[in-house]
Amino acid sequence: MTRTRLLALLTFVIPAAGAIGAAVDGRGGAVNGVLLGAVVFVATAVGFDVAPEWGRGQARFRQGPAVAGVRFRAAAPSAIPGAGMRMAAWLMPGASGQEWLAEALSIMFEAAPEVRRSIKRSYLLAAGQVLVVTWTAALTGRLRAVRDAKLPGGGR
Amino acid sequence: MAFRMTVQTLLVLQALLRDPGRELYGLELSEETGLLPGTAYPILMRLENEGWVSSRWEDIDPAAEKRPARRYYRLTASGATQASAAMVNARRPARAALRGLAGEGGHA
Repeated sequence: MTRTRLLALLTFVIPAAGAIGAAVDGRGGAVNGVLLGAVVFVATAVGFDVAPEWGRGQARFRQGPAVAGVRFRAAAPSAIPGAGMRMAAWLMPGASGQEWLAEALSIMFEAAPEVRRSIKRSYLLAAGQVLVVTWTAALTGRLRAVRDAKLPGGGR
Repeated sequence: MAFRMTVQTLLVLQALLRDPGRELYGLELSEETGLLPGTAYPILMRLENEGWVSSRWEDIDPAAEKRPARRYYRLTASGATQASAAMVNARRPARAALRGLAGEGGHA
């Protein structure tokens, strides 16, 4: 079993264990389950993106992603965001995921090949923070809009 | 100010404050701060949400330039003022601590 497959398996097994813990322990177990899920998600994402072996599914990414309407076929595989980054971007609200991915691609494209892996890892490790910031901004913006709409005169 | 002023945030602000009118993109910021671009991204997002920093995508034809567009960041006018104040506030405890250490050294 490759490291990538093992991590992918753990992604499902550990949050499931956390959910069972939540059912048994109540609130504390739920928090532990969510935290474990988050930790394993980041670990899996790092595993997907920095794993030295490229799985069959990675072959299509070698063609280059279409970011901002352009497909960078010339980009080295190490400069292309992998499945983990795409998964994290997909979890972000609205266009913020695409923006995050586009900026990561832009930076990795220009970075020296020897530092690309550490840059990719830094994006993945910070993905949790970006998720929190983007969702907080999206939800507070939405809540503000709802509150303003309820005010007399539409909040004006 | 609704966000935590961490050392990394101060490093980003310091880099942007060196020339408040200048725009920096991810790699330049990374070189100036020593932070990896992925680490600086959520900091820049928070600063942008607070209105301290504004960003824009470079207006180029990626196919012609043979590279993706860069995202440039710069301090807003109010952001520059608040960032300067934050830098002063961040230095104050360090100075006080150094004075305290000097005082303890004098007694010993």
